[in-house]
Amino acid sequence: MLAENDLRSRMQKLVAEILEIDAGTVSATSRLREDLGMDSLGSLELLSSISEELNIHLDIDDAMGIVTFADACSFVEDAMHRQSGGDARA
Amino acid sequence: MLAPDTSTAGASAAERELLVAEVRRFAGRHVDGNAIERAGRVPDEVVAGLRDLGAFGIALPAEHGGSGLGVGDACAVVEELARWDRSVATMVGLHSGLGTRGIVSLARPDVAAAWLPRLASGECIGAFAATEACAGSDLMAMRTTARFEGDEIVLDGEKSYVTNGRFAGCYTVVARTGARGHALVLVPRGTPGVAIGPEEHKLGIRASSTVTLSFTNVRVPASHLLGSAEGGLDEAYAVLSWGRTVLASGCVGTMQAALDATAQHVATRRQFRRTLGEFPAVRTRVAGMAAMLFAARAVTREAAEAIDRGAPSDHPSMVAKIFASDRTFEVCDAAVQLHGALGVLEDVGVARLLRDCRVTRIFEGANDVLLLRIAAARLTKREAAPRVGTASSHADGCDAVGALLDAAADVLRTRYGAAVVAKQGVLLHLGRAEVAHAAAVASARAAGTRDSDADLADLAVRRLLGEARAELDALAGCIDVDRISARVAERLYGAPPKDRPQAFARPEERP
Ligand SMILES: Cc1cc2nc3c(=O)[nH]c(=O)nc-3n(C[C@H](O)[C@H](O)[C@H](O)COP(=O)(O)OP(=O)(O)OC[C@H]3O[C@@H](n4cnc5c(N)ncnc54)[C@H](O)[C@@H]3O)c2cc1C
Repeated sequence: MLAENDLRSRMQKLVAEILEIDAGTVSATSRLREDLGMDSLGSLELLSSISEELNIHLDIDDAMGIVTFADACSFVEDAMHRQSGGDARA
Repeated sequence: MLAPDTSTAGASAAERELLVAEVRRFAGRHVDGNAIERAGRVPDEVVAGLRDLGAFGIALPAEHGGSGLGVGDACAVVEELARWDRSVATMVGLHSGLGTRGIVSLARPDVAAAWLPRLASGECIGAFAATEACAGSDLMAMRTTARFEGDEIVLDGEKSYVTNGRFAGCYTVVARTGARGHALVLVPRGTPGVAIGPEEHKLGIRASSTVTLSFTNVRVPASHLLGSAEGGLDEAYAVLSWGRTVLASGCVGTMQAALDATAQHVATRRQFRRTLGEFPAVRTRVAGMAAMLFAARAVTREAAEAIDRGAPSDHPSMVAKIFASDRTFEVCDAAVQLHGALGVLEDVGVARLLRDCRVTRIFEGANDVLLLRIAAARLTKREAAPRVGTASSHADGCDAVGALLDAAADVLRTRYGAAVVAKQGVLLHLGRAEVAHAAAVASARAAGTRDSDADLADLAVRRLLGEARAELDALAGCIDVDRISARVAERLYGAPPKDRPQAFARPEERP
């Protein structure tokens, strides 16, 4: 399992990579839409990359309620907890 | 003037027929597609005639000198013009859609009052500038900036492929206003610092103006901001619903021209002691062309009606644009084929139709990218595929395929979760199935309307449902195809580092 901080910094890097912005500009309270310019599909793109990178299954329906970067991190953490001992590999 | 000066949202069917008949009379006398292409520009007399007809003001508000009609009426005019020449139709269509909608819906009242009367009369023609050399499908990559300095907006950057750019009186420019914000800004022609590049030489619509515009320290009053200072991309996408629907109507006009020319040709050209039209294979092909025209008209009308009644129009306008532009190319290709060698001779005219329609699968959103968006929306929105909803002999067939589409989306959601967005092969099949199904549903609904033809609807629905089913079948084997394709691509040009669905990081979707 990834430590919580590792996961957050990996996600921060991924967001920065996808949006071609500086990772430092992504904070816990950054709103994916208003602050980072991602629409609902953009958020999904982020989760899709994370799901491939961490080899975990992220549910599409639950993902639609994510508002902030911190929400996204918690969502991924929850999914990892649920799948830990299963096929989640970091 | 083409239409009564009314502020209602649309002309009645009879008024629309009169309007189209008047455009037809004018175009029949003055619009010669081959001559216009050879000249490489739309003649001044044609532009003047269109002004006299009121063609530039159809969908502009009556209080600003327009006819106050709806997008459906603008589409009817553009469809008719496209039967005669696609460059002329593109000039009017771009003006009626992207060139003026931002001003109609977002300009401050004083700016609207200053510009809309001139745009409605056609004294001033509109243009829209979003694309840049490095920002086509990926508009977020644009570099042109708009800075707010006191009571001015200062623009710097360069826009590519601006339709109507050579002669437009004003441009709606999309520019970056900060790290992630964008704005639409109205820039008048002749503002110091605006430079117009040379005309591009193109495969088709050669008389349509396509230029690069560059902006160097261009200053316009702050009042020229259209809409918000940050949400310009959302606003641009809303304007695009109009643009795509009008573009689809131009495709319908081109299809009609290709069908008319082909029907006439196969009825007279003799081989093997018979007219071509007597051969069953030819009959089937021509009837298929007519059926696709019927379906394209039906989806385009549904998109226009959605806009005119203020319903969500992003999805129907994308469906109409993809379907009409793809099928126009198919129908024009069939027209060239059935004309034989004559089909490739420029003076005959069908070769021009084929060349002219090719770009419609690229501009106002490349079809492949729009298909991916449609599929991703189906997977994320959890809405059922549309059902016919009226009494129709096709309802059961359409609704059964709709249910298959819903089931396929459920399976994909369960199997891949959020990772499905990266599976573009899967998404393309799903998107194509969705578009074919939506066109079948629109055709089934249109089957009962006044000017419909039951046989055409029948042919269209049968074929489109078959196509939708085939796309859904192909989904199953598509992950293997993706994997093999990735290996082939790697040998051809080196594989991209990661399968990332870059098309989707766009703020165009309103919750
Ligand atoms: C004649 C003409 C007139 C035009 N008029 C205007 C105008 O008035 N105003 C304006 O702003 N623009 C205009 N355009 C620009 C037009 O809107 C763009 O060409 C269009 O948006 C596509 O961008 P692109 O050409 O950069 O193609 P690219 O973005 O380079 O895409 C090329 C191809 O790559 C593939 N592709 C791209 N992204 C993805 C992805 N994420 N996933 C999978 N496949 C992908 C698709 O097959 C696509 O067709 C015009 C263009 C032409 C040719």
